[in-house]
Amino acid sequence: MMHRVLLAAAFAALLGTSVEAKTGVVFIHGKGGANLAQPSVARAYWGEDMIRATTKGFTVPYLICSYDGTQYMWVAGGQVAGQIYNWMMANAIDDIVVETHSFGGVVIRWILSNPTYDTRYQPIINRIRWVNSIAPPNKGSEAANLAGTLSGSWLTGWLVDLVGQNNDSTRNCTTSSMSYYNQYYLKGTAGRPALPKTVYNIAGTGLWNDFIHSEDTGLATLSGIAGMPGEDDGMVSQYSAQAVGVVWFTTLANHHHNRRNDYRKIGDSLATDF
Amino acid sequence: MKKSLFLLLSLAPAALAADLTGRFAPGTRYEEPAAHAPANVSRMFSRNVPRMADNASIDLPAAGGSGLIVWAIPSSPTAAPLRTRLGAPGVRRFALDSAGELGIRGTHEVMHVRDAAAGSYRLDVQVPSGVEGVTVVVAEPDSRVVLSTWAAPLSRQPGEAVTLHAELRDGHLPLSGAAVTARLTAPNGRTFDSVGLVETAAGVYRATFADLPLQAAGAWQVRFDAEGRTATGAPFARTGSGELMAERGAARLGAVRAEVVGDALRISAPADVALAGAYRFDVQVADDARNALAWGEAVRRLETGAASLSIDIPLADLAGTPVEQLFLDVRLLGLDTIGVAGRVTMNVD
Repeated sequence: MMHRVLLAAAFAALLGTSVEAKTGVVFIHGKGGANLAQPSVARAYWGEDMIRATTKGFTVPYLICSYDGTQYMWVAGGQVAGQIYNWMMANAIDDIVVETHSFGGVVIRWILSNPTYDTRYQPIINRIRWVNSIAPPNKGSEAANLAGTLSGSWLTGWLVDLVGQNNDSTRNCTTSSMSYYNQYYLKGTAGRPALPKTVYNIAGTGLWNDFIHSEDTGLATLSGIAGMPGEDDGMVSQYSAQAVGVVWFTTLANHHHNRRNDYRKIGDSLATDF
Repeated sequence: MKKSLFLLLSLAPAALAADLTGRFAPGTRYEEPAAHAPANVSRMFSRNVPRMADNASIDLPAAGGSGLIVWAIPSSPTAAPLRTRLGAPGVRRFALDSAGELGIRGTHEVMHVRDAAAGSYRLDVQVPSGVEGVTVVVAEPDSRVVLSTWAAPLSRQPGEAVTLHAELRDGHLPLSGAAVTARLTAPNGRTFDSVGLVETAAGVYRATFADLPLQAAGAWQVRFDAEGRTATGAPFARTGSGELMAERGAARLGAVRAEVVGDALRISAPADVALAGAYRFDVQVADDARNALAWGEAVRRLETGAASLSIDIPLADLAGTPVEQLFLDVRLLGLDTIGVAGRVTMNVD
């Protein structure tokens, strides 16, 4: 996308003229377990090569956000905002590129959409250049619907591990919940006010990346069972990922691989911003 | 003390934040909040196989004309592999072993039949010892037999009736005569007895309730189950889902008023507040052709009782539209607890 490349070059030129300007990159992971609040677990979520590639060999200052992956977006947003705020103030970062995966894209949308909800949000928003959002369930995920569908069985409770526990972050990501939040609390979808910063989305459209991993088999099965319309990456449909922002590119990497720099070199693409 | 006060002020919802206003991008159409979420479209169903003995069997209906995916999931993680036998030709098997990223623990088994003919397939399951049972999820991803479901209203205020809606189709043909049930699960996880839906038109099944079975605010989930036969006699089963947000009744918005004050359109409304807390007064302004023009949001901390809300939208953001041609969508949103407290629309006279 030439427009995006030109913008990145313009940013680089602009920042190069300022003694004070300092660019950094923030990674916001998706939903998962409560242990994603541990920095080491959050780092492993992305994989070392994704972080290395995106930061050009760790030369760009970076922050790996770590939040409890079972919580609603406003709870996660508070944890993420605290980390970003402290990091940018401590390191005088005033130009932030945000990289998100999956539910992380919804968490940053919460922050961008609700600048008056928390006094740390607006200073963060002011410093964000743009957001690169990988496989965000902007209109929800049919796979997340399954958790609710199946938990209503008479053996309630013993199936809810299927697509992540039937917890708050999974409930946040159902297509019904996202329809509700998009109408009242989140910006950027059709008919709603625009987000204050541009979101570039990257949708996953592949399933069978690596036959030896259970995750690939699981995602392909989920795709078939959950009834995702159109293309999807096993967890998030393309239509949902592309419901907000500008399409940057699509990737054949599935939901397991599109947060890593392995099956497709997505980190190398993200690094072109710097 | 000074530090604590600073932290308190910086972390609380920004009750003292300045009001925000803005313009919609040119060409944006006003969109009214949908009465219900987009329909959940299902080509799958699930069955529970309780542990009555070491071996159990279950019949799986298939409408045909599609591949068949059968996913067998033990009720609790088990190191012992599931042993299953599906009475169908050309079954491919995949073991799903501890894919923790997907929340899968223990060993699941997935079976895939490339082209399943219409009929009933027998699945034999050897339930591992120490496991309460096995859930079997079956999908026909390319099937023409589709169950579409939703619950309404998506944002449900106390006292509003609840509608559960299901629609069965075989391609373009409605599927009549099916048995369709629904089961509600409250936000606290409590599940209620299933209720039957009545066919109100060909292939359309509904149930309406004056109230929810429990006064519980939050997301109510609905599981729909349908069974029947197609026009050609093929058996089918489908499981779908729906969801609605039961609001708390935290506050009520009164009649909205709009007037020009200086260089702004002042929009005000009284509120009757039942639950004190932080709220956001949201306004969207459109013209009479429903072109979205401007928006505004004002955070307010409201105490219980009567409150007066207002926000000023700069006239400069209204694209020169005469005030008497404006349409307003005014909302009061909870911030301490997320939820819609009230919504009022009006045409400015």
